[in-house]
Amino acid sequence: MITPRAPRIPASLPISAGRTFALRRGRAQWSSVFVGILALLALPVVLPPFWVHLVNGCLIAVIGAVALNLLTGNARLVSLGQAAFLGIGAFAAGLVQRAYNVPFPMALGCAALAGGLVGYVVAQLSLRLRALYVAVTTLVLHFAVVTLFSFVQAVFLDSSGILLPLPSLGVLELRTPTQWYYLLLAITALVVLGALNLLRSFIGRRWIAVGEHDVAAEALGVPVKQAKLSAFTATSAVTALAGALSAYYVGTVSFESYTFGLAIAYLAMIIVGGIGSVLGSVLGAMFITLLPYVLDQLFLVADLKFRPNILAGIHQIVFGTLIVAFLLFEPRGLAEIWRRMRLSASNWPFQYRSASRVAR
Amino acid sequence: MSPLLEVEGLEVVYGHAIRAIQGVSFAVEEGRIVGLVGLNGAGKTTTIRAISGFLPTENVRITDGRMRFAGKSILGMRPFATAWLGIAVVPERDKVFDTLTVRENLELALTGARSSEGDAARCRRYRSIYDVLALFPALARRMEHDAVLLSGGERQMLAIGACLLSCPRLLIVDEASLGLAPILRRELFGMLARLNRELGLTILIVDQDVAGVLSIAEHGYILENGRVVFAGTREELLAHGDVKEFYLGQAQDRERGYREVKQYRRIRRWH
Amino acid sequence: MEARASASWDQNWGKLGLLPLPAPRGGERGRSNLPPIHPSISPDCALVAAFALTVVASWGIYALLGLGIVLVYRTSRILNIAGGEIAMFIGYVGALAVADGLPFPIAVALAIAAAMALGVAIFWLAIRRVMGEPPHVGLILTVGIGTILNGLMIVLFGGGMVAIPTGLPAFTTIGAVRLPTPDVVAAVGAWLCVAIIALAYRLTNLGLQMRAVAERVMLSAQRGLNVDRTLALSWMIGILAIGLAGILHGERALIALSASVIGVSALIACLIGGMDSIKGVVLAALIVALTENFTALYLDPRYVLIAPVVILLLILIVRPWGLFGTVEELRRV
Repeated sequence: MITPRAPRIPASLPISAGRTFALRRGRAQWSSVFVGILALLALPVVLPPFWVHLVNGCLIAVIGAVALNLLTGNARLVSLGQAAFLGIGAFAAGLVQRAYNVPFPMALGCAALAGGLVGYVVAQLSLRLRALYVAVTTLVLHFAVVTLFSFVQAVFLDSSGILLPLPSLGVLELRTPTQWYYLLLAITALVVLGALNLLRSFIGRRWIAVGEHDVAAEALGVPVKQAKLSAFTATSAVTALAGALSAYYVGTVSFESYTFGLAIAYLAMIIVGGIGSVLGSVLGAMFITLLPYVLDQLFLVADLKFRPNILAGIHQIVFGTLIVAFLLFEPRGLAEIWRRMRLSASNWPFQYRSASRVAR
Repeated sequence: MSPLLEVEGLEVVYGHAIRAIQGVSFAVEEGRIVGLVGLNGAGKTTTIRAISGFLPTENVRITDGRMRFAGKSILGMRPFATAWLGIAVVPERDKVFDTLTVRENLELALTGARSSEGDAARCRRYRSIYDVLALFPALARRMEHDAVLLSGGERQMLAIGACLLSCPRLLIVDEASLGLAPILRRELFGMLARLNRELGLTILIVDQDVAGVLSIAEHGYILENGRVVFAGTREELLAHGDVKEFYLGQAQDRERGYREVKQYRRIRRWH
Repeated sequence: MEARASASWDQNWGKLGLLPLPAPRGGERGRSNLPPIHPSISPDCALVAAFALTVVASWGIYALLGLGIVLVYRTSRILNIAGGEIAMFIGYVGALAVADGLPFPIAVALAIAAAMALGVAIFWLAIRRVMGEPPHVGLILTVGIGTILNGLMIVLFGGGMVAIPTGLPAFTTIGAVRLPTPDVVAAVGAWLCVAIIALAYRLTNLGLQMRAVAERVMLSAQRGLNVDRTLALSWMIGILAIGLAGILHGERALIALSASVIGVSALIACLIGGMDSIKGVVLAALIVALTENFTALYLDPRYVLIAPVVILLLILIVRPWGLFGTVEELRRV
């Protein structure tokens, strides 16, 4: 009797759950990650301060975009209230700071807590509603929150809002963009890794199941109610955190910055970047944040001079066209374009991948 | 003379894997009544959808086959275009507009595409709402009522009346007898036969009530699991053992169950 | 994260009804100041009449704007939240026409043509491609369209505040009270448009086709209705209604980027009344107009949206499909 022998299985082929879901497999991939980390850490040394400031703005946007993508892209709970949650985080941190003079990390914690609470309440409201009504509820939330803040600001605070002191971590004061950069890099890395991990964990898979088809998910035994509640609460907390960080970075908190246009900007980030993928959130956040500056540079190069308010109008037109174009023609966004490029690059000069190559 | 409607080798796939229809071929001669019968899930409604232009959709594709209506290929034509050609369908569910009144339902049928190649005599017969009311007097009482208030039989009449107003060359009736009492069923089939006689209207009846269909249809096709398993004239079908046993309920020896018909757990006398 | 530099639509809510506004060039307005009182009428009566007229005019404009949103939602199941931007865009077209010397009726006709063209263009280029998708896709699409229109308004029209003067005298005398003409024209015009559109929807053949497509698209196609054409026409009429609301608003107040907040109020009215109900939007527009005008009169014009938003929140909790909306089956979670 000849027992069949198992053929030699290459080491890089995933044979266990840990290997299958690992972020990076094999020495080659990990070394590229290492190089990437080195590059990120060295960034502020290489770039001029204004660019570091831009990168800081990108990082804050990435935090908000990752959260929104988890909610709207994966759990498919369309949220138009991103600006409201950013504002809640900023106002919570600002009010707590103003009233009790708490240290910076605690203010951030309060912001996240406030965001999570409001997210929980909104989630409870929209549990039984269909997709369109969830979006409408968040829209109403936006107007309610912003009007409330305008009221609070006019009545209880100075008309210019809350002035925040320089934040400090222990003895280190965050003054320069470079110092902010390292803090923001750490927080953003945590959020991105956390999101990647979450999507591969049972919570994330429940969110995806609920997002795809909540009735079917319930039939499969997914606790849909808890999934929606947890999705809203967690993402709102992270968004509020982003709002508080942004408030401390800018230095003031005022209700005027939290416009519906801001919510649209975040939606554009996830649409342009790619709905449902963390890479998409990162790409989209960077794209949308840097877009006005890139456009201005393009106009400079092309020697087109516009009056400042016309420039604002052109930004808006480009913006809206991007949303419409990506929504109609490439809903999986830049992340999909990136994946296609990478696939064709790894296959080049061949057109198709041969069957004997190990799947990534 | 070539048939009015010709379907050859139609194949329809749901999703990626489910072949709802596998190689269905049939023909409907002009002026005849043809029956397409089969149990639930045999593929009758899918065939109707393919003919009237609702497929392909994003989940359902027509992977093979040819369909010709009056010599013209209708594969891939949109529903509006097939209606313009003269194919009128009375669907199984959702056959009337519930929020509109009976009068509005009929007026709407007049504004829809009237067959551009309609035979003059046929079109002259049902030209206005009152002609339909002459055919179905029961609807006259309900003219200003919302269609949601109609009974099943009245709904059927309204749907057929609306189809007649569009001057069809081919009337496809999908599961007309669902939910109708037996006596109404006989009246319905009788009315269809009368329309065929008086107007020369070609009718394709898709139904599960094989006895009723065969009482007015001259030809019939039996669909099972997406294939036409038997075709013939009325006499041939009525004489066939399998038809008698499984579709007309005249069991020879012991009664066999639905599952045996579906899953071929019986001695099949055809192929 | 700084907001994008643009006049966004939730700043400066106070440009509705009752604020004293800067007089535009050419022509006296006098609407914001209370009218001089006829000697035989008590002052209170004249004040009340003027206020009532303001409410009726606001009500009419919101009802007309809301009607545009409802008509489009009924047939294509897409909630158009760019109503404010569209209204202001068409308003700018009208204001430009008047500023170029055209008489008011011609300017209105031009703006109507522009609105119809815009409606067909939006449908043909964008909406048509997302017809079968889940509802939030269309919603975000309208958000994008609104942003594009906002930018276009800045680039093409400058984004400043303009008015659409009718050239009529500043006051009209009805009975024994003198009322500001712009409000009268706006009220009469808005209600005339609402009546015409609502009656046409009920009585004409095109309205019948739109109602059929709104209810069952498949059956309409089977009956030979040209569904694409009906959808395009319903978008055309919906955008036309919104554009008319914008023109009438410009006639009694000012057209500005920030005044697209009337779209927000109309949207709230739609949601309170039921997204697919014409009766609902008319009733809810009254609620919104009343609360807004009272808030502006007695409290602060900056907070006019508080009451409608609170009412909407209550409705979302108690009866999410609106007062008269079709009871949608909510999935039990």
